[in-house]
Amino acid sequence: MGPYPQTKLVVSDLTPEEVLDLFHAYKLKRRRAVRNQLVEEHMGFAHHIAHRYRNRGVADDDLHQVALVGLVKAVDRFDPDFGVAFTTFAGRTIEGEVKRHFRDATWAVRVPRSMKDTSLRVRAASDELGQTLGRPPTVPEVASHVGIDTDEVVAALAASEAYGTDSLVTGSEGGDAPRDREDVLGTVDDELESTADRALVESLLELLSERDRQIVELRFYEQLSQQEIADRVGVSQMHVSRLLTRSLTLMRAEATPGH
Amino acid sequence: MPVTANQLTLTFAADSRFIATVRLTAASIAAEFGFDVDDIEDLRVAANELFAFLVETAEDVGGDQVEIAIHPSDHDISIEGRVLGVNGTTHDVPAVDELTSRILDAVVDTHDFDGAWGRIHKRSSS
Repeated sequence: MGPYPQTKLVVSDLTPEEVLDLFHAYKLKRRRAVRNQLVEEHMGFAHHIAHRYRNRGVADDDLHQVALVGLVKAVDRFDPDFGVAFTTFAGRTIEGEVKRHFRDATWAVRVPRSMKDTSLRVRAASDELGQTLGRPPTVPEVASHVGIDTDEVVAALAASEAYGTDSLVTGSEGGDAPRDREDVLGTVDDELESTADRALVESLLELLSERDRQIVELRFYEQLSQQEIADRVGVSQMHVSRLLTRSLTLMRAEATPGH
Repeated sequence: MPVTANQLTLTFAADSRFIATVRLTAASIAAEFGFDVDDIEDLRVAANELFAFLVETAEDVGGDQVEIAIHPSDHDISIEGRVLGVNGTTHDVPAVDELTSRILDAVVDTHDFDGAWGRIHKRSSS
């Protein structure tokens, strides 16, 4: 494999409008040639992200390959009508893919963090929809509710099987006492209730500092209490509360139409 | 490759709308044979590339259908596909482009496009 470009994030002469047109064309026809053009257009961006994770015990070639796969997934999943910049969306997808490479060894079997999060969200959505519908939800219903595609739901369900029957009582990271499934899943927060909100929150998280983002993710994705977050982050519970309020206020303001 | 005990063969119209079905089928079968989630995720990407490439080839050569054969075992899984024309005639597939080759390099153990068939092969990590 040849050297990777390091200098420019966007390597073509296409205007942002032309790139957006390509995304619309790809959404409509799913032509591989268009997909490849979009991938090549943003290859430098993927390499840029991979470059940030160098010197951490993973070969550069591996990192760049992983980032490329993340970029391909991002192009496939990106909805140009959603109003979020592709780089915002892709950044999270590519980083998620790279972080998956630095897997968390605390869970049995090989289950990446992104899949753990997804599995918990799929489980929570299944339970919630089951109560609402009065029957077990279908995979497309769960996918729509969580805001992911149907085969990701299948993969998440496969991941939850990987935990085995003990997965209903799972230990939290850091050696805390095991918590019941209900505690892990908690209830879906009103602010994150709709699928659209979930997708929007993903992009709004980019606005926050690393620590603030971590706190919001611990609260809403891992369903930790403020005290558990405080213990994890090393600040007081009240401080966590204030930081959460500040972060959500900022995110709400950004999400307000006309902002 | 020869017919295997657990082989599943599906024939699709050469239409990219079936990509999700191919991905889902490959993922489901791999899950059934005990592949872990990372392997399944990789396989989804690879199946996507294989099928999309064959659909594109079909459009170029006037093929009507794409046949996908999945050969799973507890240790590995192979997926092969070819383009079918009228009356079951086959068409040779061209070499894959560099980007597709790099994507497949990242997610499967081997891939080859030779004669009428495109093939990907992945060993189970667990």
